[in-house]
Amino acid sequence: MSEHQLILLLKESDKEALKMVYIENRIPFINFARKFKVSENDIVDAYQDAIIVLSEKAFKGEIDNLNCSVKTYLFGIGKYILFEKARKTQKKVLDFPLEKEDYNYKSIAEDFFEEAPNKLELLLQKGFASLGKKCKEVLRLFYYRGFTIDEISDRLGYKDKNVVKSQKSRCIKQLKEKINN
Amino acid sequence: MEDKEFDKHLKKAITTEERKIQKAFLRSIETSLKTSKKRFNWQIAASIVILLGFSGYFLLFNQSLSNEELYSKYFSPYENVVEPIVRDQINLSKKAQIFSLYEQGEYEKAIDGFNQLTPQDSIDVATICFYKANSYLQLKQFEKAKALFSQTQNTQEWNQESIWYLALIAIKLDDTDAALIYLKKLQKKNIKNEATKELIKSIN
Repeated sequence: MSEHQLILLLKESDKEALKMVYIENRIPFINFARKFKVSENDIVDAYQDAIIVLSEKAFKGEIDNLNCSVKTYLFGIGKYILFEKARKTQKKVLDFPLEKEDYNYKSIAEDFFEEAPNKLELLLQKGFASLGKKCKEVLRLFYYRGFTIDEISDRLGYKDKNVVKSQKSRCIKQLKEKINN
Repeated sequence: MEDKEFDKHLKKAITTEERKIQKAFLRSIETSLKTSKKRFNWQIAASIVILLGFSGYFLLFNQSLSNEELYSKYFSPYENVVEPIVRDQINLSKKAQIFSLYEQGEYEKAIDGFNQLTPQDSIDVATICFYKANSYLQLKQFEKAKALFSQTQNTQEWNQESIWYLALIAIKLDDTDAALIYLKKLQKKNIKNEATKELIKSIN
């Protein structure tokens, strides 16, 4: 499979493709990250987060024209996630020389770490998790995947985009009721 | 609150929830990778037991062992290969806390913990049952362990290991016929397993 085909599959959130990328690069990443003198558990944890970032970048269309290999991109992000995690938990990590990089991996990694959720966001998380399957799907596509109403309509096979619009409004209303109770 | 502001919070909340799902998926891949590694280790462990343990004892002293002795010779609790515990790790997950109790030999507390775990904690039901059975074995509650291993022997993940422990329980309970059935089952699956062969020989 070419890198381009792989990115297209990741863009579609194909689980098998994600699993393949995960397995293929796992040991090379662990070996690469060992030189920073952190535990294997921390390395695997950072690696998993880097895989999540890769999949998010793919479905947002931000790596359609990647100018390096998927592996280089993944390792670049993983390295900074590892450092950011170590910094937060005040663990020691061996310094690494700054190199010229294809992307601003540092800022990509920093964006991944969001601020701790506030009270409303915690309620929304709980409320969202308890919604029905249909509501979750519409809201997930809209807010996480960044689909437009038209794209959701196509994906879920609705003939009329107004159906999606009203479905989304109903789901948000339901969610608001849940968090107000 | 304005819609725009609400949308911002909702987006963040959904992103967090979706990332949790993604992370659980990746952890399940990680667990399956460790399980395949573990199978290999299990076979090595069995060979080491036979090389250093039973054979040496048997050949040196040239005497047969009682079922009780056989059980003690072969039994060792299954190591934690699910959730490696890093000692200086802060904020251990619920699953890690329970496996830590298991590692420390706090089997009663570990059983209470296993009873609370669900697949939502990124662990499958078969693995929970397998480690719960091992904990019962440590507490010498053989019937409870047997009931659980009987379930896990039907799973792909813990099939061979469960049969092995069922054979040891049967030996411990002096049920030689049942032990032979389990050991022959193992032999069929893995003919090169010297430990199984030797055990069959010694109880026959």
